[in-house]
Amino acid sequence: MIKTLALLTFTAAAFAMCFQAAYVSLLIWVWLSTMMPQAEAWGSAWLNYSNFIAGILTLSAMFFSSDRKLPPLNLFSFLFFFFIALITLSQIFSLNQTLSFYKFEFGITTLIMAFTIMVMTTSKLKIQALLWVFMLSIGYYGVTRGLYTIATLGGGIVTGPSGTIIDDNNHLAVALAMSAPIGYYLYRSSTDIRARLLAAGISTLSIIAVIGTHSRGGLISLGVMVLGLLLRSKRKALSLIMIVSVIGASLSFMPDKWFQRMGTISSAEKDGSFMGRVEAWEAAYKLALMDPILGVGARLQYYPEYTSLVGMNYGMRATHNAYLEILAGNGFPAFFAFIAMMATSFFWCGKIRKLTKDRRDLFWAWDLAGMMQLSLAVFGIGVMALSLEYWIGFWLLMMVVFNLREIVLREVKPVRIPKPLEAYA
Amino acid sequence: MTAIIWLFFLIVNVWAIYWYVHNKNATGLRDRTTGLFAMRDEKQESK
Repeated sequence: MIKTLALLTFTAAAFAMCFQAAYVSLLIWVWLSTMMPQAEAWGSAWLNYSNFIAGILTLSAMFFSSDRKLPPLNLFSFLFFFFIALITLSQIFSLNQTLSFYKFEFGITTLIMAFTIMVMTTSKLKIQALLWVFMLSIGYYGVTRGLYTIATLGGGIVTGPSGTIIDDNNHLAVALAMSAPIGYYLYRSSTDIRARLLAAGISTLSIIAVIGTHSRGGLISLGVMVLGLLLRSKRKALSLIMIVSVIGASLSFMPDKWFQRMGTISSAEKDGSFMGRVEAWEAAYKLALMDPILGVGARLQYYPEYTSLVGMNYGMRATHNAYLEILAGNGFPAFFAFIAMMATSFFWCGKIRKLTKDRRDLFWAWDLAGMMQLSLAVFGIGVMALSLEYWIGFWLLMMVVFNLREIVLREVKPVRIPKPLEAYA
Repeated sequence: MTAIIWLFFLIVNVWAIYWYVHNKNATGLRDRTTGLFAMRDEKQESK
């Protein structure tokens, strides 16, 4: 009851701020749909629909507020709209519209909200606020799960919030590993010591939580993240000492079963769980060949009645690979568009760093692009064994890169300096 | 304990939203922001 009252009060206060600035509705939506505080407070139907209300307000703000800017048509925006068109066509021509509708509905909602981020996040301040709200929302799970791992000495397997896309331990592991570099950026870009401690604390506990998920994919993602952070860090020795201390201290109390499970990474071909995934990947690929243009329909490759069409006879099984999930469900063009969007964002980060390398006033963009690139790499590798393609955190990241590039291009545009005679003319 | 952490994250999230509203006029790159989540002033500090 107290939780419900607290949530009602804070949510009402947040919604009241929408009158001050239209962008607030997007921040509320990111907060409520990532942290899901309403899942832990009962007794109010209004609260259950609060993120839906925030979503509607955000869409209204996007259409009617002056607080927006139409995105320029470039490679990324073209690929994004092309991808939306393809998954919509794929749903229309799905072999079973009823079965594929749930995944389509979830995906299209995520993409629409990603579009609002693309249109509305047009300034440095908005990017900073969005990243803070995202970090403080996913950070709730990093902190609680990190503390749980310490309290149980790694005995309990950490999972995400039930009923969400990150409820699975593997999904949560990749989501937290991907978010840690954002925490590092927020730590470096903030001046207040409390904000810096908050960002550093969330990132540290998130790393411990990744270990606590007992996820092998999560451990690989964590490895990529640590390696990237070391490469990006200016004080490599200090960073190495800090990272080794956190991970070393966490591993010192993890139980034997954790080490046994992680040890199976090197002998995956003998592992039943992994070989089951390989079978699901094979089925997804064969189903994609059945309809290479639009795929068979989102998530139909999970069902035995469709896998049996390509000679794969086993029960209901998830694909466990974001790329193959799109390939089987939505076809080769959507698959290539998805990969191209990720690659474009990744290379744009490199371009942003190159453009801002010698600009002291754009240091934040240089630093942010580095961390975004790292987060994209962690996610790109992590989802090779997970179906996390429509997690809003990933799309939020790509939209931030999209807008960051626009801001940087505006700033570094060469200014024509008049010749002395022209100036005095 | 979880309830206290939950409440803490509820507060800091709303605080972050309030921070945005409080600084909403500082949309340019060179405007100074204030408050808990204030950004580093890059004219003053070097890499």
